[in-house]
Amino acid sequence: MSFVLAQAQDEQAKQTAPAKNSSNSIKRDEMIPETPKQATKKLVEEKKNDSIPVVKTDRYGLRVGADLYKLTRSFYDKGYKGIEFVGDYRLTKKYYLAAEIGNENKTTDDSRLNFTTKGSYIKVGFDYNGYQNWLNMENIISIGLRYGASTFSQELNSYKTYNPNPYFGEVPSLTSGEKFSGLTASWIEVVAGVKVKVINNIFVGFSLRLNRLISNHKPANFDNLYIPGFNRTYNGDFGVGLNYTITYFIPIYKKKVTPKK
Amino acid sequence: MTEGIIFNTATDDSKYLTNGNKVSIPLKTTEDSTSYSFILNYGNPNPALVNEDKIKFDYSRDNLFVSRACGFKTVFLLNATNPYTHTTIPATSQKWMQSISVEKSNIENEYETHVKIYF
Repeated sequence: MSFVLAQAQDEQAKQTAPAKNSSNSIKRDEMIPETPKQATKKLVEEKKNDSIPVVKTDRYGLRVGADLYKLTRSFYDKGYKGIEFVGDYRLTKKYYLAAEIGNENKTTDDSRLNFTTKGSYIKVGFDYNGYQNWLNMENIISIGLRYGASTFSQELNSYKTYNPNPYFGEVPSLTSGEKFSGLTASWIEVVAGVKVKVINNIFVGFSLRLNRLISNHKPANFDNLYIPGFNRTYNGDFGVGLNYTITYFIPIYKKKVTPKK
Repeated sequence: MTEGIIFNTATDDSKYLTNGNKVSIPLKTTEDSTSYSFILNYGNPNPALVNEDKIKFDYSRDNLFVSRACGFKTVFLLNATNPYTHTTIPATSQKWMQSISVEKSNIENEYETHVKIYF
C-alpha cells in the first residue's frame, strides 16, 4: 500500500518540479484522470480499518504451579521423594519475577557409597520473555537467572573402602549411619524455559538449568554429593537441572499495549 | 588368613618369595592388628639356615572420604606404646631380625618407609 502512495507522491513531485508557469500545472492537474484520486481515498479508508482492531491488552498477574517431574519421580523412584512449587509474577511486558521452592529426600546408591540427602531449597530470580506473541497469545520462551539456596542434611548409610590390592579379600560395604546436618549451599542458575498456554489460564512449561555453586558448606570427612534443588554435584562447581511444570495463571490487571512506531 | 603374599609371577611356592631391601605388605582394614611371618632363606635345603620371625602390628584405623568414585580410604596409626610384637617360630629358635624401628607411625600411603628392620 505504501508503495503505491510513494509512487503517487513521486508523480506529484515530478509534476510540480519542472512546472515553470502555473497555468500549465493547473492544466495538468485537470488532465489527471479520476482513478488515482479514488486510489488515495481508498488508502486512507484502509488505514482507518487497520488501526481500529489493534487495541491489544496484556494480562498481568501471578502464575503458580508445581513441578511434575519431581512429583512423578516420587512414584517410580523408590529412593526419591520430592516436590517443587513454582511461581512467577509479570513485572513488565517482558520481565517476570520468578521463584521455585521445594523439598527433596533422595537416597543415592552409588557403587561405593550409599547416602540419603534431605533438605529444602528456594530459588528466586527473573525470566525474560524473548517471544513476540501474536494477538492475544501468552506463550513464553524465556531465559532467566536464579539465585538458589538450600539447607539440608546427609546421612551416610554405607560405604566401601578403596583397596587396590585386596589381599584380605574385598571388604564388604560398611554400614555407617553417620549423619551430617546443618549443611548449606548456594548457587546461581541460568534458566532456559518454555511455557505454553494449553487451555484457559493453564500453562505447561519446561525448563533446563545450568547451575554454578557459589558457596558449599561441606561436612568433615564427607562431601555434598547431592544438594536439594541443585542436583548432584560433580568435581567442579557446575551442575544441571530441569523441571516440567503445570501452572495456573491468576490474572490481576490488564494493560493496553501501545503499538511501537 | 594364612596365604602368603604373592610377590612375583611364578606359579609354584616361589611366588611368595621376594628379594631386595624393600617389602610392601597390606594391613587389615577391618581389624586393629595384622600378623605376618617373615621367613629367612625360605626353601633352603639346609634347615639350619631357615628362620621364621613373626611380627604382629597393632594400630588404630580411620576411614577418610576420598571421592564419589573411590568411596573411603583407610589410614592407620601404629600404636604409640606397642606398635608391634616380635616373636620367633619356633619360640626356642633365634630371632633373625635384630632390631625393628618404627620410622613413621602414621601410615597414609604406600610410598614412604614406615618400619625399618635390621638383621
